[in-house]
Amino acid sequence: MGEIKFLGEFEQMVLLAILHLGDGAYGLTIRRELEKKTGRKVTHGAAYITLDRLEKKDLLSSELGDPTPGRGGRAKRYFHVTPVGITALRESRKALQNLWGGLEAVLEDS
Amino acid sequence: MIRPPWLAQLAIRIFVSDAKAREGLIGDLYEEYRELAVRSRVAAWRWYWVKTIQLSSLYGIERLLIRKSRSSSASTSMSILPSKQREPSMSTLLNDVQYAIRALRKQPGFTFIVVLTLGLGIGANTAIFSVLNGVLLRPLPFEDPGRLVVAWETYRPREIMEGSVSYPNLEEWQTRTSVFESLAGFHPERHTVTGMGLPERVIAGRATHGLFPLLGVVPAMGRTFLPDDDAEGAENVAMVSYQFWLNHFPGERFSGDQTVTLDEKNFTVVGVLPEDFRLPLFVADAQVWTPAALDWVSFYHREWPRLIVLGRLAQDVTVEMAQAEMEQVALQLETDFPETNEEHGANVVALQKQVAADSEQLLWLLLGAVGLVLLIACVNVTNLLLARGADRAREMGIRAALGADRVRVVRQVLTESTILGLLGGMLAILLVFATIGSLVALIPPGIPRLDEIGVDWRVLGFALFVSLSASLLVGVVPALRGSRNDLQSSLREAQRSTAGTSRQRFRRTLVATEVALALVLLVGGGLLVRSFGEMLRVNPGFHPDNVLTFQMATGWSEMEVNQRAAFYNEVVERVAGLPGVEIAGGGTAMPLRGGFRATFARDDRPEPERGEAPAVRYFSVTPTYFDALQIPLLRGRPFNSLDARDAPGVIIVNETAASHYWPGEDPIGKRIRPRVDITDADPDVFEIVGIVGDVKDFRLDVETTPTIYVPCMQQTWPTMGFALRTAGDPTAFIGPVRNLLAEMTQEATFQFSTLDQTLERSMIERRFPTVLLSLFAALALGLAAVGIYGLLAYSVAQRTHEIGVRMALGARAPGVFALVLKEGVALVVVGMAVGIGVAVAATRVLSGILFNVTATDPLTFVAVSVLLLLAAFVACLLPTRRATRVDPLIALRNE
Repeated sequence: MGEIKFLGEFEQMVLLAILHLGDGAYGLTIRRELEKKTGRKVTHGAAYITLDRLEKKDLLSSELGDPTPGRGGRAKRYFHVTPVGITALRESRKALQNLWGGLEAVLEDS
Repeated sequence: MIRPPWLAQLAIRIFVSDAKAREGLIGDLYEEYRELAVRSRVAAWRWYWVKTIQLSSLYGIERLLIRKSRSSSASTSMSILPSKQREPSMSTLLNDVQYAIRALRKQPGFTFIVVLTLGLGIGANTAIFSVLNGVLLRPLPFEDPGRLVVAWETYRPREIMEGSVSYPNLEEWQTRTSVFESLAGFHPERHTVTGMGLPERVIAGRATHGLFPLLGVVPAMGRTFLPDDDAEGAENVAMVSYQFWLNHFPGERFSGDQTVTLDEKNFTVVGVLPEDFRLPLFVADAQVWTPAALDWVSFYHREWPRLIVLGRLAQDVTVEMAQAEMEQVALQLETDFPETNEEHGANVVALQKQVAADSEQLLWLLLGAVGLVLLIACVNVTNLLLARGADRAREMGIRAALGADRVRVVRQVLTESTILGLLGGMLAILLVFATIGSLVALIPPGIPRLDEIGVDWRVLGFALFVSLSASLLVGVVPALRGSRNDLQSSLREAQRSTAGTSRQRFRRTLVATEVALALVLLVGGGLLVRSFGEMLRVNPGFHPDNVLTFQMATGWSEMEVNQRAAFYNEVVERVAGLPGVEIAGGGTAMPLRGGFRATFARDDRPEPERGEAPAVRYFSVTPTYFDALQIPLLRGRPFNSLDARDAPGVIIVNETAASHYWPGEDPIGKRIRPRVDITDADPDVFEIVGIVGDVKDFRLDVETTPTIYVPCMQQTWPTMGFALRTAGDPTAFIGPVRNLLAEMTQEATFQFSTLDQTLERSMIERRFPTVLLSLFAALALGLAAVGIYGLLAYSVAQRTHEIGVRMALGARAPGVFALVLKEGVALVVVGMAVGIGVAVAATRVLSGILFNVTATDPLTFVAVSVLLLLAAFVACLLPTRRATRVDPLIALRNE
């Protein structure tokens, strides 16, 4: 896979939300989780396009569950973070921690 | 079952190519949709569409970007290959689309103007179409509605085409015809519901037992009427609307022995109609239905026609066949029952057509007018495309020189116009969603099936069809012109242009056409505005300022006249006693609210034949009624408190009644016997004591009906209206009056409004076409002005060189000004001349809805011509001024 590019802020949020949700992570719950934890409105477009992109970059994998009657007989598309995704998250965290280090005095909430 | 709109789902399926992503996405949206739909289906539906449009466009763009990046990376690596081999022919369309999108994005201003112009035009058309669709085109919500007809009785001597039918005649029709599978009758009425909270006046229907099976209506609960319910002496039974059931029996289980009190009689509720049941013919809002037997004696009387008869045609029978047979039957009835049926015929009309009847012409007219607006918009866009085509002549010339064939160039231009048209269509649909609510609010309540107006697949299909037609219309000329380029001339022409090329001539013709079309619309709008003005000038017959009115409904149908009259008088007195109230009066109905109908017989003439008795509107009023409304007493005396129950009967007539029924005579002192209720066998005698001014019954633009007034102490009715003239804002008195009334009775309901509001409401029918047509006319005027401006601005830009030469040779600014202005004015004058000719012929279709104005009203023609000239002049001004500022040095340096 070689060099991993840094993750965007929203990409990180999506990956983290999926990890929080565990086995229950599909489109709807991911969006709700993001809205709950960040307190921001997450549009459908942004969420789905990002999920697709992350899967294309192999940071995520997805598979279809069983068809559900409450969804008009459609299956849920469950997402999991791949090992590559985990690595990418670690890299991002490390980079951010390095950058945050020593700035507590400036940035701490008063 | 709650399902998301399938069309939207289809869009997602088209735009999201990855199967897994699609499955998950559609499922997620479905889940959220269902959650939202629990609260509001409409909101959920709208939400689903918004998400669909957002997601489809996102995924669509994503797909295009990926293709593009793929094909561009392919072309860098293999650019030496000839283009034919590099692109498989299937992707040429995609290529054209991509190229077109790129070209349009390069000129955002141009694209914006075109999309906005088309969007407004298509949007206005789609909005009007959605009304037309809901009112006229959607099949009625009954089983096999194409076979439903209305069968009217006609009466030749008075040219009545839509007369109601007596029950015995309906029975004759049933036995003597074979064209109908079944026939049934109904008629509208009103009841007062009591015993369930406050008394309530409801719209009701009376139906023969066959009506609901004929319509294919299955009750939501219980049963419909049975043949026994129609028989003499049957129990009182009723069916109620779904809404009525929910409101009056909340949370109750239907048992079949609940009762409802109508006009102080108890009825067993035997069935509840389905939620969506509406019969949009006089009884659309009926809340209660009772069977025909309610007052058996009068109902089964051949002399009392009052049923509206519906029929279901037998298989394979047409309306014409039914009409032919019914005419035969009518002839038989004429010989069998000459007393009642002489000169009576039959008239069979498809139910759908009958329901639409009055609104049909108006709606097609509006669609025609808004179609003209779109035509003007298309002309403008064509002009813009042509101008742009001229600018791109070099580009096209070069493409042609490099081997692009003519078809390819035509296709390229058409692809562009199609994309513009579709973008316009999308904008149009958004506009329709945004404005449909206010449009429906503007529609007068007389137009049926308003609740069925909305955006359905037919409306979307229409928008798509119009968008594509407009695309073709605006694209075809520029495409053909663009492809005709040859390299030499286009390269030369791009360097320097003068006026007078064939392209310019064509564009001028287009703008002149636009002016002509705009003039037609302006004349139409102008005539309606003039009619509205004429209506405002009509004297309503009363003084509406600072008058609060309220209508009172009671269940007191059995109460003594004296008791009711005493109560009404007490209301008048106590309301008049409130501080700030100048005077109060009461009458069975307030002005512009219709009222009872009655007939009368003159005491000095023999009893009139059936159907020949003079018809009048009838009011029972308190003595202060005329003063409170400021209806002038023209002659004789007003009512006073001495005109009581045991005093001699007195009556006041209006001016129209006096001149209509007593021409050349003095009505005062004449004695008449008014008959309000047909069963009233021996009506009282009243002597005419006064004549009052005419008051409009319903609308200002309709002649007043002959009217009679009796004192309420001598005849009263369970319903009564009151008017109080106040010092200052009448609505401020609603609270105090309501409190006062609450002290006096718990057994009546009151509906408040001011006379100004009533007056306002009476104008809504005329306001609707007036507002819309003026709006369309204004839009047309604006578009035409933009068209003129665009043409002249372009022409000046093209002629910069020529003007520079002229100025260098000594032409002065005023001369140049005149030169350019002449070009614009000539155009406008030609367009107006044609437009006036067309308008004279076309506005004749309006003559039916004009009031006190002829379709060729000279004032309107002159006024709109001046308006158009002014707008055209303003549109000419900017480019003309620019021309005079041409600096010859700079203009010639471009050489």
